[in-house]
Amino acid sequence: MEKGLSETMTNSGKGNLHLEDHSPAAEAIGGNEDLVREILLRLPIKSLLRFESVSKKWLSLISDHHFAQSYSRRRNPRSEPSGLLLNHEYGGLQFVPFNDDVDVDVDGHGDGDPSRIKLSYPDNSGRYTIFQSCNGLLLCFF
Amino acid sequence: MSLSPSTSKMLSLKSSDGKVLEVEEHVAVLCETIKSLVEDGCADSPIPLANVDGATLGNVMEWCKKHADQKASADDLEDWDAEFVERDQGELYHLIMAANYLNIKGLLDLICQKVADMIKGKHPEKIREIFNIENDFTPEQQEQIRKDNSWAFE
Repeated sequence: MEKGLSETMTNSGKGNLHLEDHSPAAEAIGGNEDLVREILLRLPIKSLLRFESVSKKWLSLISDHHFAQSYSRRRNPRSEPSGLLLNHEYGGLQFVPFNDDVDVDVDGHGDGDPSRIKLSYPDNSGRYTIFQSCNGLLLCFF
Repeated sequence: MSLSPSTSKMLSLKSSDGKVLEVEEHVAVLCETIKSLVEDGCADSPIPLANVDGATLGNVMEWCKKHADQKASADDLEDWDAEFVERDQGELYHLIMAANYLNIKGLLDLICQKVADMIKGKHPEKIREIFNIENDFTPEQQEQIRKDNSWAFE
């Protein structure tokens, strides 16, 4: 469907647009950063990333750190980190909660103490490569 | 907030095209901008709303009236809102501008969500046309963004 749309646009140029596509109010919204932001915050992630190519302004709005925070807070209102999910070398996942209220246990041993956790990052002796990072999440290759 | 329907007096609102609308105060104060004027005692004469045309002001007040109705249940309001946003794009864009100017958070949320639902999945070129935005990327930059987000274009 998208392909069809893009072909139509190329073939027909700007002459065939419907009147509703040229609303002065829409133009005013496009020029109002706060309103554009409000609309972008309500888009699904896939559309959001597509719309990075609309203009430089939209790219900088969407890739802004604060925007990302607001966006994830809207989708997950309780977005404080609740703990760490550790993948032990000797096998098995362990969930280590950051506060006592969280009692999630992925392998039957939910008794981790966050104060005793030591992360080996960034001393990784070449065992993994950090590929990307975004808002505190690391994407690593092992 | 403390204004109840029984004690509510009428306010005159004057649109950008000179139309005057008489609205109950407890309805009109859903607009934070008007609420501030009322609280500061500046709401005696017709209140001029230079950025809202008469038709849009009528629609905005229709929404405020429904949402000021204390008998309306949450489910009732949700159904009513879903019908309220079923209107043409031009009207929706005017409503966003008005909700922003009059500072009505509930209405702004509602219409922004509707517009987001309308534009999601559209081609970036279509978005530029709707909002009259100039494409200021070079073809190379454009291609790079596409590559970086290739899964979003599938």
